[in-house]
Amino acid sequence: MKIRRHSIKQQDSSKESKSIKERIMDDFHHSSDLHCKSFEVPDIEITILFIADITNRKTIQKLIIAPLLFLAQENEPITPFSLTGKLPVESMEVVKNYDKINTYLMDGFTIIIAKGETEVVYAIETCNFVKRKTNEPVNEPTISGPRDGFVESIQDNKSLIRMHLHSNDLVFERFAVGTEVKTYVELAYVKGKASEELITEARERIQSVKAEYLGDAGLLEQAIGKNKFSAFPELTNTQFPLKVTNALMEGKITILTDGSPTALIAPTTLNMLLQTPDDYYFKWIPASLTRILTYFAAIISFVLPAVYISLISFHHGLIPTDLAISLSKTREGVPFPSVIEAFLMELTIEILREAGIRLPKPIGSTVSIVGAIVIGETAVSAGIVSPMMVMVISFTAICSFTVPNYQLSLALRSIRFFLLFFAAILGIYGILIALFILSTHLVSLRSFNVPYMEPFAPIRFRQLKDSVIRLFFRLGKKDGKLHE
Amino acid sequence: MIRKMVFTICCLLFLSACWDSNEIEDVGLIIGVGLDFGEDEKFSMTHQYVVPNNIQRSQGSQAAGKPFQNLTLEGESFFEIIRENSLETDRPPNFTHLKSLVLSEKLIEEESVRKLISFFLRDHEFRRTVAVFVTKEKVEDIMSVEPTKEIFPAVQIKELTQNNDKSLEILENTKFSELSSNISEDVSFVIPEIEINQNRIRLSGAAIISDQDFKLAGWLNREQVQGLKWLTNTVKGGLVSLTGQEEKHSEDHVVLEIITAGTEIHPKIESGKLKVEVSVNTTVRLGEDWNIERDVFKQGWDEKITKDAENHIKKSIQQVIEPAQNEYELDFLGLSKWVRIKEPAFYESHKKNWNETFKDVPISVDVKVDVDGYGTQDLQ
Repeated sequence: MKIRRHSIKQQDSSKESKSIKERIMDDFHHSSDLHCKSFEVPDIEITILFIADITNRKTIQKLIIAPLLFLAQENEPITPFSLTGKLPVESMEVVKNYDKINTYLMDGFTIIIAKGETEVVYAIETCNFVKRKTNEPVNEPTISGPRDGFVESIQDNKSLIRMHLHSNDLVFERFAVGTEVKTYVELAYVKGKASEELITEARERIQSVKAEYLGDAGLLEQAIGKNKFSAFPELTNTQFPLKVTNALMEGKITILTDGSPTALIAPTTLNMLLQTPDDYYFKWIPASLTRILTYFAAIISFVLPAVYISLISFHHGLIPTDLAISLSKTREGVPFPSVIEAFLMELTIEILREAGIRLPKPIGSTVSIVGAIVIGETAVSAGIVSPMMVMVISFTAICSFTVPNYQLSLALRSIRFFLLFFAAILGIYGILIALFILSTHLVSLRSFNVPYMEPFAPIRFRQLKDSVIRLFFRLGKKDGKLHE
Repeated sequence: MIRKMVFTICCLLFLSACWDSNEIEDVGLIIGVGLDFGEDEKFSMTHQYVVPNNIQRSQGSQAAGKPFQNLTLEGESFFEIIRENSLETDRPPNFTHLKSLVLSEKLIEEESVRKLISFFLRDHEFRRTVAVFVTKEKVEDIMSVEPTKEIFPAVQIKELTQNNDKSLEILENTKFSELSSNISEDVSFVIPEIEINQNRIRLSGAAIISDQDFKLAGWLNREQVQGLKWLTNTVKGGLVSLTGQEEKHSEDHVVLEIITAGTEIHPKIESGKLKVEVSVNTTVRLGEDWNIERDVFKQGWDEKITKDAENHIKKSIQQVIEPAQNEYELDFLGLSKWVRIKEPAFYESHKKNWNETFKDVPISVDVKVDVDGYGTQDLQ
């Protein structure tokens, strides 16, 4: 799908030889879905152009063609300019720039070319794109929160945000991003909550994107992110409107992309990625315990295999005697060193996980059964891996499932291998080196000029009450989470 | 910048220790060590290896053999013997899980404990929590006694003393760390003794190690161990059995259970002479009573019991003070510590010949027993 763009000069020169209609038809290479209908109203010739599959034909017939034919019978003198206000539509724009016609057509507008002594082009909104109903976001299940999730239509997504956030301070700014093909991107913020620097920064980053075509929010995320060499996500990725509105009320900005059900929230901190909306819907004591659990599981999900490896191949003295004896019994006869064994198992789990995602759902369950039986049972009884290793790796995998943000869990997966490598060479000492490198990296990361590790480093005591634990908030206070 | 980082990481990776890993199943875990004299005045060292494959975990599969292997080797020094192990086992011995060290009577009679354990204290693999025991039996025999509840004899030996809150006759473990601190402080101390009784391992008394040469000075029997426990304030529980009249199972046989116990030692200087006052405070409960006529609801029912118990405890304490002062002339009771703390000037001047001073110190024992319960009893 390429658009030939015309310069003003071309436009002038070709104006003499071709009519506007023909030029449009040429620009679309006479594509079969570009419909064109011409008819005569007294004194002027009217041509209607629209792309059939993204417009509502009934609307076109009822609100455009029928009134025009009716006008023809009325014998009123019509000039091309007098059409405005004659049609029962909400808005009817006069297009003055030829280049815009193509954009309008692709957005689902109907173009009316009225030709009399002069030629006037009108655009009327009649779009009807394919739409999906909103349903629960698959990646972010919630227990008691609202069930609606973002869809592919940016209008619907904006409507969802407006529905959850009734505020006249909520501002949307529209950008068209892409050098070849334009994709609409909306920047949302709450005026007065989000700082001006943040908004300006976001604007600049969106405008400076130089991509041919942005198909999805994920591409935009990478295009506007600055930490190219980090595994950690710089923007929070969500399909959950309430998460967006909460973030907006906290003074963050949100970027919506047309055609993508994913909203991007910035700035992002590690703390934010480990929170779920459910944390706020329950009372603070169980919510805090859940938080602690999530943090704990997140840490286990990248540290455990490395610690296990270093304990059984370097620091035997650190294991309690009974455990050491039973470990050495279970490892008896395993052909690989524990490091190779761990890499093998990790690889298997990752492959199973990828296979589970890629396969269609009905077959996906087969994979998990085959994986569980073949890898878990048979490998152990065949003596290829030790049962303890299977336990460690699968517990790690389960822990990584508790991480609420998928991007973050991907990052932790990468770090797990990094740690495993260091542990394999140097034991606990290696793990410490790896953790030093990791923490140095995390502390130096910034997302839209906000430190990634906030509120831990730099420490912000006020915000700590909504980090590993979630203390009660006083509703109505400025620092409260809810917007009432 | 990046070059510097890569350089640093390379240094961290390649210029460090612990490079070589050793899988846990390739390590010969040693959980018990026994030291003895072999033939020709050579040392003999018994290693108790774990044989993981022979541990029975799931039901059904019958284990092929014993879950442990005792390897006794002889040599001139312990380090050499350990290295000699390599000739016989495919797995390098690892002592990080060592539980107990058993010394034979013969060995500590002739060699100083200080010399014996110097290697074990010097090496980093030996933990300071290893329990040390002395035996009159052959070390090799006691290490091969089939354990009754544990899997390994060495573990059973160590765990025996766990019951020290149940019986007055059980000393707490003497750990490596205590051994080394006692030796460096130049004080006498005791090491618990184990013996084979009807083919089972059993705790008996204790061996006294002299501070002069750190060799065996004598033995304490089980009754004397009781007194020692009272004196060193290590009583955590146990029974005080009052037989009353001479014959056993007489009408007024009473068994008291110790609930709390505390001993304070007050050294005092009176006109330049040291005097030690020992005061014992203990709370007991009537545990077993053969005098069914006793009415515990009557005022003063416990007067006689209290008095008997006080005398009993006092007697048992004197049972250990007497040989310490007169027979061995060694202060293994830990009195020097209290004198050092409370009368530092006196201790400083008598430190050199403390044992000489100790043997003439008058020690008075004062016991206070409080009977605070009689359990549940029918109302008659």
